[in-house]
Amino acid sequence: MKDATNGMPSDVTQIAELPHWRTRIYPQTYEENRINDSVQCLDVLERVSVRSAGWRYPFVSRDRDRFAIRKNFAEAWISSGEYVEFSRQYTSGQFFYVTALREAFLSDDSEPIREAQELARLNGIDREKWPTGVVSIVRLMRLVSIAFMNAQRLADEFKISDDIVVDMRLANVAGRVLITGDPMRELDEYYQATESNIDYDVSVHSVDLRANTLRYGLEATKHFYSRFTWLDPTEFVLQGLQDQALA
Amino acid sequence: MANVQPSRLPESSPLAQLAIGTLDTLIEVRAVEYKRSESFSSLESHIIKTSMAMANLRDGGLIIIGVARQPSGLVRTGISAADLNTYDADVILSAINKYAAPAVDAVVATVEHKKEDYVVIFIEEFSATPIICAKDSAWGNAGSIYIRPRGFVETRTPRSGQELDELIDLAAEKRAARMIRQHVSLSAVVSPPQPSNAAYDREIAGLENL
Repeated sequence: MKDATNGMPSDVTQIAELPHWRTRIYPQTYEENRINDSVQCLDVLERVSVRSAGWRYPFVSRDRDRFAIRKNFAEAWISSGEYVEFSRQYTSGQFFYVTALREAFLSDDSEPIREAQELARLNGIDREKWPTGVVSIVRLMRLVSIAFMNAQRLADEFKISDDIVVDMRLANVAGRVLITGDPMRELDEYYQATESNIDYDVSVHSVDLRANTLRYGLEATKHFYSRFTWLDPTEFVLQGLQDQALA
Repeated sequence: MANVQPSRLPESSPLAQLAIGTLDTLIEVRAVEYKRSESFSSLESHIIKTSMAMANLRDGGLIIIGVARQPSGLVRTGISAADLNTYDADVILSAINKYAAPAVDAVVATVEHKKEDYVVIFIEEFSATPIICAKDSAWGNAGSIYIRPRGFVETRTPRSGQELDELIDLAAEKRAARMIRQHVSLSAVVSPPQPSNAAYDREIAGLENL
């Protein structure tokens, strides 16, 4: 069933209200029919999808309840427990992906939330500024890095010879704090987002993107971390986080 | 063949309002030339030269026929019926543009003011290139540029570089404006298409807030 307000399947409209991640990727030059038939858009979604940490980004299923073919796009979605996501591939080449942060489904007494509260207490943070939730630095690194991997695959798919735009948003995260999500590893500072949405977009030449896909992922992730006030992650730490995220 | 008198402008028309306002004040400025009622043939050379000069003036000018110059000053008399019969808009424009190069754009009309008729020639500012006189005659030479000099109510050729500056500036402005238009137009043809965010944004209508 389609939702009347935004065309998303009703199974996943809850994403808009949840902390979520959104990626848009599109070739700089608009061509309405870069893909001849919207049926082929589903094939492209599958080819662009990146496997990492036991999941596919985006998740694309041929289950009839989890995809649809429309006039100028194909879309796929899943809503199962903490896996709530939705993706679209347009005939123009535009790729759209949105997923609820898995951290959104953590209960208040879960280990990561308690980790964040302990961090707040240790740093002498007033109660009213205690975290509204958490964002895993590894998962965030994964989402950002994979966005550039998706972009690189799209550039190859459409043989883009000029720029491709990667536009990302981390949404509804005001009050959330960064955590490692790893009990063996802790952040020693309290890094909290003050803004609801954190945006980042970049236009990259396809050749440059192919050569530096993961480097772009690192730089963009640094931007997102900085909006939580984590301003000084070393190159070594970032590289380690990316290795961990994409393992 | 009888002349076709210049058409009478309705009082409400902008050009008529301009002429009537000018006649109300009778102020002499370089953009306005008053001539007493005379036949076209009597005023022909003067109208041709003044038209070329006013076309070289920013915003052009007006020649109003039917205002006499008397010791007490300018007096509105209107144009006599006999003189009016000698004016034909096509003949006047043809006479001007036999000399003017490029051609002068002008409107010739009759305007009524306080029950008197006046022939008014509305001269438009040149569109791209200043107007020069392209033909020798008893009153002037081919190649002459006529101007309405600042501070004088007369038509003549420039007597100094400064007098020519105003015309050069006006021409330069027009040339620059044309180059910018050409550049914009050319850019649209030869430049690669610019990012089409709007088209992509339209595609995701309803999802843009995510």
